[in-house]
Amino acid sequence: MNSGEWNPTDELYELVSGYCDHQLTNQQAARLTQLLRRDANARAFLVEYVQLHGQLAWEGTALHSAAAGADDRGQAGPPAKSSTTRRHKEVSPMSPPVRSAFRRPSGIQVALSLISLAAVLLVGFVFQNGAGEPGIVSTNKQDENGMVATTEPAQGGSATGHQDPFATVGPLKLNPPQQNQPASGNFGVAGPDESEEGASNATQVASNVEVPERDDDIISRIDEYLRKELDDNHALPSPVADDQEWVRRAFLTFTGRIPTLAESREFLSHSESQRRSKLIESLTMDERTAENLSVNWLNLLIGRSNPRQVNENALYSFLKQQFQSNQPWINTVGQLVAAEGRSDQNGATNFLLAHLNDQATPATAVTARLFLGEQVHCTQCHNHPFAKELTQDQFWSLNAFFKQAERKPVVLAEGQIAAVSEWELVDREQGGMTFYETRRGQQIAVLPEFAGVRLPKDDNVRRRAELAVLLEKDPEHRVARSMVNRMWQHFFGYGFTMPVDDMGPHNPVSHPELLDFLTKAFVESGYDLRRLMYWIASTDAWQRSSTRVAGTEDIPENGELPLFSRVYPRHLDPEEVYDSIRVAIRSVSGQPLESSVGTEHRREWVKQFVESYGTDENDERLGFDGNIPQALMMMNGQDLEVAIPAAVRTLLRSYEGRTPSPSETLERVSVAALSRRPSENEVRVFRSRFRSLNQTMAAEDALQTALEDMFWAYLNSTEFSAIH
Amino acid sequence: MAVIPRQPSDSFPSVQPLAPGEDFVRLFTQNQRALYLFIVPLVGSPADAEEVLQETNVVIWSKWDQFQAGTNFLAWGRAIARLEVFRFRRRKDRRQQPLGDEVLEIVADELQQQPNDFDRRREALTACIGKLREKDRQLIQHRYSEGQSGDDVANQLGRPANSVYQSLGRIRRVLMECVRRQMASAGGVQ
Repeated sequence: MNSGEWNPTDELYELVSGYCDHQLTNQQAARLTQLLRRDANARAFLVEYVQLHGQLAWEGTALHSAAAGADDRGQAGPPAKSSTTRRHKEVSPMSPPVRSAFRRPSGIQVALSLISLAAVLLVGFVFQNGAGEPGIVSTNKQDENGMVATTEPAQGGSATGHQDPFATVGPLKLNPPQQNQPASGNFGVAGPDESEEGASNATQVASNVEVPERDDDIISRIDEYLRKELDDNHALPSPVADDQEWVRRAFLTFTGRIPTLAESREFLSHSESQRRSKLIESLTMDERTAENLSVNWLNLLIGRSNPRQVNENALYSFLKQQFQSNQPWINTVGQLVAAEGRSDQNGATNFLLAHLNDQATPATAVTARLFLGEQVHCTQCHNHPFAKELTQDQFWSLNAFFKQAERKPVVLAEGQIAAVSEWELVDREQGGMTFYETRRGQQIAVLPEFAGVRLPKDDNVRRRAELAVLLEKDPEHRVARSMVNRMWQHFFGYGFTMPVDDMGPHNPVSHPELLDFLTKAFVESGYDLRRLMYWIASTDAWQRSSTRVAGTEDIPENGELPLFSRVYPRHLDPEEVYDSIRVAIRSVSGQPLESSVGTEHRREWVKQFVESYGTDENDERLGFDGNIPQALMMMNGQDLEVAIPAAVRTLLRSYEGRTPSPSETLERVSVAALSRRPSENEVRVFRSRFRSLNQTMAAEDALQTALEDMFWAYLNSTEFSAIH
Repeated sequence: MAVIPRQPSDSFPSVQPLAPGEDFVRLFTQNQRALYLFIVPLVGSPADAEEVLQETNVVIWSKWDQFQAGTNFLAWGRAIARLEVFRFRRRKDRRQQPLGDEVLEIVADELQQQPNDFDRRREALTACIGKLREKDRQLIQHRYSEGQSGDDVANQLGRPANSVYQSLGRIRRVLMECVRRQMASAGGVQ
């Protein structure tokens, strides 16, 4: 193996040494690959060197003790068993790399502990009937069902059991999450104490991480986690976005539309060091943010096409009320799951009304996906191929909670069936058994069971109400975690997993510790959505530009997990496009924006882009890639064809007799549409257009036409249709 | 009355053992280090190699009855380990893998042919560590026997991480050349 003549170069030494220590840059890795590929000696050297490195690690203390030749078989240490167990726990598919913060047992100890485990297995083998699965793996089975319902320590009567989170916190004066007092009283769970406990009772904590009290400290920690991952991957963060880019992003993210001219000006009027934090504070509290959240969740809950004709308005109103009063997210989830009554009287009922069919399977799948971040629909028929926790049994045990529910049309007047959009969501008296068939054709009966708690076979139980109670305990914080993941995606363009609603041990997490930390912080805050948004928006990371730094490989579009070295651009949703166009038009004309932006009309407009598949889960395809020309063509052209020229005319008239310079008018249009000044190229194009028009028409008309053209062009640009 | 002839005993099928025997367990134990050393150049980090070894062991254990006594256990185990290495790589972040599949397949081929002289290597390594300067030996101790990463060691010693990595590189080089010399001299280790 060792050639006498060939000697490794210094470069090769350095590269191989770097390989051992995980210190190679991308260029170095490529160079090492190149050297290895072409030279067998280099490969032999790699083997020799890395095996040396491996031996040093494997032998552990054995090599270093004075009695180096000692019998190392005598070192079956006591820690062996527990460390093996812990190690096995980490050896599940897709587990993230182990950070060596603990004292790792030497390889010998590991091997020997395996032997003792093997001895146990030998006995086991003799008595079992040779099932394929080795015993080692079965000890790995996590107790994902977490807590069996135990008695919770009774929380005090005050608003939330823990201290007022905002008492000592910096500048933000947010309302602590209020107690949930639903007007219709349809929550159906015994006693108002239940909802208190739901909000503040983090029964099982996901990690050992301590969450600081002050918002600023939480935010710093988030940045630390991100920075560490960047450093580990030798990636550079993008520079801070300039204020123009940022203010547009902030308004779009929070309120779902671009800022008006007045809003941009107001933002810039504050001192440079203060302006972003001030804006974040005010946007977090803004009613339009609550509206935007409501629209997003309305789309998630029942889709845009609403084939079942449920009462969208009522559901929207319900959501808006929840978000506007900053109800703990967990309470909103509970209400959506347990709602009963008429679709127009209890807006929350419309969620399940949109998904119930005879078997309630779509309702089960949608509930799991939206609130737990788990894609379980395939476990209807078989166990999940990778995620051991997602079994067929679990699907049907969850489904059993929904079996009791049914929807009925509402009779408004005698002898008349109500208009199609009124339904009633009720629970039958008898829950009934749920049966499912395994792949082997066995019929299995299940009772409702969630998170290790099974309901008794008592017919007087309101199952969905019980489910809501169990969800509110949020064992393992799945509800919190899935919301954190979604919210992060909303701000950054990508979440910590891809896709964002398929979480589980089978799907790698880009920043597991950060996700744990933020989940815990969210839980301890009482599932406070405003605070969560505040933290995320205030990070250093969210201040960054969306442009990539040369040499930094951070391209989630390629399927890699994101590093968040920048904020990733994404296409606007149709609602955002619609609203932003209206804002741009108003900004050009200088007229104030209407306070309510006609959501009815917008929803109708959006429906043009949605193809409903008509499945039970109301799957739909959104045929909208942010491309405005498509949108404008499909829109009732009259609106824009009239509105744009009118706006430009209004603008030109506003100069009160003096003739504005073309560039100043162009600037007005570009700031209105894109929140930035026109580029030199755009100015050039504009001027030449103006000049050529001026040859056949009067200057004012030429200016009008040229401006309209530029405005259309801006609205059609990819820059307009993206949030970045 | 006809007498029913009895079957000769050697036509009964041999009883299938329900559990791996002592021989298998002994082979298993003896080859752990060799399997680990097969894996480690393919994944780079000892921690990852241990993880892959665990998974390899699970498979070996579950297929114990497919191993034919008297054949080369290490060759059999290496074949299994090789599959586990590539499964592991597919699951892990692409970013954490500096070397591509193509070159690793070639290295794996060569590793499968590597002779099993790891016990001798171990002895040589022990002797060579004994010859290191005190400070160097301590650095090795920190880094390897206490399971710390280079960065942790750097923090502990108050040295910049880069310089620690360079020292480790230098020491490993010294050890490697020493081990070579030891192995070359007719296997004698004192």
